[in-house]
Amino acid sequence: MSQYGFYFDKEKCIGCRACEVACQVWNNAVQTVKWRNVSCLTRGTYPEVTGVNASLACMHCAEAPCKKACPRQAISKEEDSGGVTVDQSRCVGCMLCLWACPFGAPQMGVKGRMEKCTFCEERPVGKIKRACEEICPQQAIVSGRIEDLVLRSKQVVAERLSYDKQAEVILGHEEK
Amino acid sequence: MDKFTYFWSLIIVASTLFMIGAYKNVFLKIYYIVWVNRRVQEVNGAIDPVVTMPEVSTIINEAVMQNRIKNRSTFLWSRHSLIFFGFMVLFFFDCIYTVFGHYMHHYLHYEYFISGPGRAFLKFCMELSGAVLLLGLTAGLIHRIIFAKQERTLIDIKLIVLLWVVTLTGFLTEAFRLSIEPNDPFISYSFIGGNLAPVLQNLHLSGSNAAAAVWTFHATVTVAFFAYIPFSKFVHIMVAPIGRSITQNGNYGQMKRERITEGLL
Amino acid sequence: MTRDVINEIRGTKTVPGVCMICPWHCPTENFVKNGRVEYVRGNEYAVNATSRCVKGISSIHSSRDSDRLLYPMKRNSQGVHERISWDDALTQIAARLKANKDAFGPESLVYLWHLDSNETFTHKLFGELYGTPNLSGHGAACDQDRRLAALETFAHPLPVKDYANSRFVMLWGADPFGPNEALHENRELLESMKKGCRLVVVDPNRSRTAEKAHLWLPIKPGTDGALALAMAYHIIETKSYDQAFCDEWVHGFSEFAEHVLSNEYTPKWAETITGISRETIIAVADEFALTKPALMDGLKGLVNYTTGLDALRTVFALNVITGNIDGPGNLILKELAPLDMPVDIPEEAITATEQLPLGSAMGYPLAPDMPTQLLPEAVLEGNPYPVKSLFFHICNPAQSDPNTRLFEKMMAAVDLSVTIDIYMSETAQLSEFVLPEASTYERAEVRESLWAGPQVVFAQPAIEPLGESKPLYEIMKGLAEKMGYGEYFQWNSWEDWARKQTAFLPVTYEELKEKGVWEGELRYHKFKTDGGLATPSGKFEIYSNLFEEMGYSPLPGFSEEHRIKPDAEYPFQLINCKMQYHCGTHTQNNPYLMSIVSENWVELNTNDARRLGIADGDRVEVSSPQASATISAKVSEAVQPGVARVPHGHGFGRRFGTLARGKGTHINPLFETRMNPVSGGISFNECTVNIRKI
Repeated sequence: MSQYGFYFDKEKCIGCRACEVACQVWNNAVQTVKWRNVSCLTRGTYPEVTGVNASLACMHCAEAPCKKACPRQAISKEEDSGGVTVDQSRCVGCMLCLWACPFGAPQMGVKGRMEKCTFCEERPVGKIKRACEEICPQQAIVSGRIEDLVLRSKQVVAERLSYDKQAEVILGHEEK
Repeated sequence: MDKFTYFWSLIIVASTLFMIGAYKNVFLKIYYIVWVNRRVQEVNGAIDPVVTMPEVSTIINEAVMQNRIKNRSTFLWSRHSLIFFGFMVLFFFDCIYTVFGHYMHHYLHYEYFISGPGRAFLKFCMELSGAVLLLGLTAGLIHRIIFAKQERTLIDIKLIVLLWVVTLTGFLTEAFRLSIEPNDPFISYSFIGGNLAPVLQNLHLSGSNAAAAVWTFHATVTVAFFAYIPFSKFVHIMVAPIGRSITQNGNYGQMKRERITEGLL
Repeated sequence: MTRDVINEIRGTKTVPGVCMICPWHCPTENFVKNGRVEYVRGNEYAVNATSRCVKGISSIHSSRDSDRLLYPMKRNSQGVHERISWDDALTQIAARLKANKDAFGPESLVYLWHLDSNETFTHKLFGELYGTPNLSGHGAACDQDRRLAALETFAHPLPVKDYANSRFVMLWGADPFGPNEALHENRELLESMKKGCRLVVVDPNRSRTAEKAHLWLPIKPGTDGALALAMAYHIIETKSYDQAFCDEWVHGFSEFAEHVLSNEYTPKWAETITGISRETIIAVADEFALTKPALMDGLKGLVNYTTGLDALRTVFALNVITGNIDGPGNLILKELAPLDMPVDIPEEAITATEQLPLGSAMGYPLAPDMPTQLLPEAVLEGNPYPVKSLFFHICNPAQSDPNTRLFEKMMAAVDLSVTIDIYMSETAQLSEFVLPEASTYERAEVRESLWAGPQVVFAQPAIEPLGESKPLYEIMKGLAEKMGYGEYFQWNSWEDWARKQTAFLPVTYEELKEKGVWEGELRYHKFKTDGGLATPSGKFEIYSNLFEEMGYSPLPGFSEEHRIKPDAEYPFQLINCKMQYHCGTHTQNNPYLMSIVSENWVELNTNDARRLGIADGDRVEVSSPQASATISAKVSEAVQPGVARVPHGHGFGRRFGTLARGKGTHINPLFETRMNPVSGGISFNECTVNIRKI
């Protein structure tokens, strides 16, 4: 079983929300339901102001809390793709999954049932990018197998260390 | 086996099933969610608590006013409101009637709800709420079968048919009872059952055996429905108000995302 | 290529297109199935790859929007627009144009555009055959000062940026990560920054770009010129400019140095004006001079002040004296692709223009685009000559120009007004004739795009035009036939002229049609190999003899004589910006974008808001000496105290479209018609306001 995931570069994200709309256009989701959401925050007082943007969607967790939280067993983890999928015909729209999700990913669809990122299930991984990744003007989103993404983040840090000795090394993955 | 013994045994079985289901599908789920949220908080070293309790207005909007359906369409909302209010009122008065009426009369000879003015009030309210419920259910059934193609899954139809049968047999039970007890002093308050009774008599369907059979059938499906709640889509009766109130129409997700974003600063 | 994968998944066909949401004209791919655009993305053969900005991806809605203009309309005597046939509309317009030409000369026609799409046909019909000199973009409301400064210094109107190789980038009043997105440039800048490129942003507001910058200089509005001069002073004083390059390629360096030193534009002098400490100015100047390659550029944040032209001339001069020009990592003087004209007009048919263009005739001889804010004067007073016919093509000056009331008066008075647009914009509502244009998904276009090297976009119609709408080239063809010029506009389909236009490209027509984009080689230091620049001296001109001859200052200085500054009665400087999620009239009826932001706001510093008792989301009244407007407030730490920032003229509060109707506030009536005395560019930011909670 392979595990897919998203790599997100907060230094590149400019909060333009093209990923949100790309997801809506590709998946024909209605304009008010956003499977991918960008949060833009500004903190501090003038002129010492900092800001950060983050584009978040379903992370397709290995141990998905939403799956365990669902009282209808509507959420399942796909064996082959590693995607977390929701069976709309079992869902009752109670949104306990949203309560459980650490990333606030599940969305209430217009049909009154939970909808979320499907990892663009039509798009074969490896052959083509996800819609959000494809559209992102800054290439801040990268999708793929989790091992490749870990490798990628290491490369990014290594590249940075090559010119910036003060760079803070943050790796979101612990080797087992 | 008399009515009361039968009903008692049914209720014991059904309540056990209901409790098992509610424990497994509601209590354990919420317990897990609270645990996992706290754990995420601890692991991430978050300062602020993730859960901000919903305001009273949110709870009323979500749990009583059914905001999640109101957002979809007015037709669906009115349909669901008929079912929701009909069911809730009927269920409430039915409990009162069964406990304070039948059982307290049976064991304690308490008369107010069985032959006093309480009975008239209860009868009227139950007839009215039952009619409202039946109206909503019938509308839902017709709509699902004819118009809403995408919702015509077996799982949905099955549930709505079950509740529809429960309600309809309730009226039939009352009608059969009144057809063999035409001198019931409160017959005028049962404005549907009371009017159905002469029809049954004219059709030569009435009789104490038939009445007992209908009563047994109604009692069985009603209790079966009760037991089925936590195992089926009816579980939304319990979890949807909780989940929707806490997630506050998606704002809760927004709060979580912002907290994660803040962590990236 | 990955477009085949999408076609396989969705059963679609790829039709290359071009994005028409903003003037960057990014090459795109449209995926079409059964006459419906299913998905859009960037063209993977182009430098911007598959990416689109939020406005670009959302613009898919304009191929489906039933609120679009669907048939030609004419205003009746009651002032209501009524549907008429194309034939009637074109016949009547042609007759009126002929009458106006006979009575008042060809220069009585003014044709304005915003997005420059298929405008070569306009140039042929109205410029060459009809003979008017008054064809112009809406640059006066946009980057007029930058264009003039660039033309003066480099003889090139639109220098672009090569961030990919840059080590130091300084942006003045430009927000490429916010509203002005050149997708590949943004990506390259961020990638450069990952490799150690430093970014400095000068902006009174902490814009999206300032958010990413290593250093943000929150400058007092309109004083950028002083900061640039102080940097020049320091660089010249410490002799850290590129002496060899200045000797060989710079015209007037010694005059410039003398000018800067003798006027004592010192960092200390600038400190009091700009509010930036002298240590910071010196540090930034040192870093800029010592880091190579570097680039600095400015955009609307500078341009919209009366000091903008000189500020940009100084910024460009700083690039030039440090030798940071047209090389890797510098400002690039973009080379154009060898595109032919779609149709040729024979020499004898061309009407020679007798009159000067309106801009020159009204005292702005150097204005690159017509100062559109002067149009009302020409129309209402016939000064300097009568203007009787107005054309607006995808251009909405009723929303984008200052002093809206005067514009409305002009539209009521003008003899013939025609708007060609895809939406019933405010200008269309004021026009006599409204002609529906096909959207970018429904028409062909062969055009240059804004990559640093030569880049041709070959857009093809993906679907049939909605309703009776027609592409501009078909409208021009129809009009030409009615005007008696039909013989010059002969083609059966758009492929005929597209083939002619692309004949000189080193690529076959079929390959270009398949790919939808052609990119040439990005060449650096073209002025060294191609025999100098097109300036009069052949060098980079910091000292302009042309300016001197015209009676303007040949060297950039700093003068605040035309500035409007906050006072006791109007204590806030109103600066306007673009919204990241909207771009002009065409995004206003878009459900995707309207669900992100549907209204504009006035952004205030927290301290100012607290003093005025304003909370986030309150409705406030913003009043200038001209007019007042009601708008909601946004309280933020990102904006300088004493500054009120409003997303401008994007046509909020409009009357067309089911989604756009009634949204937001139109802020332009607050602006006085104020402009740069040399370029004629509109100085939107020279406006002071008072803010009051209501």
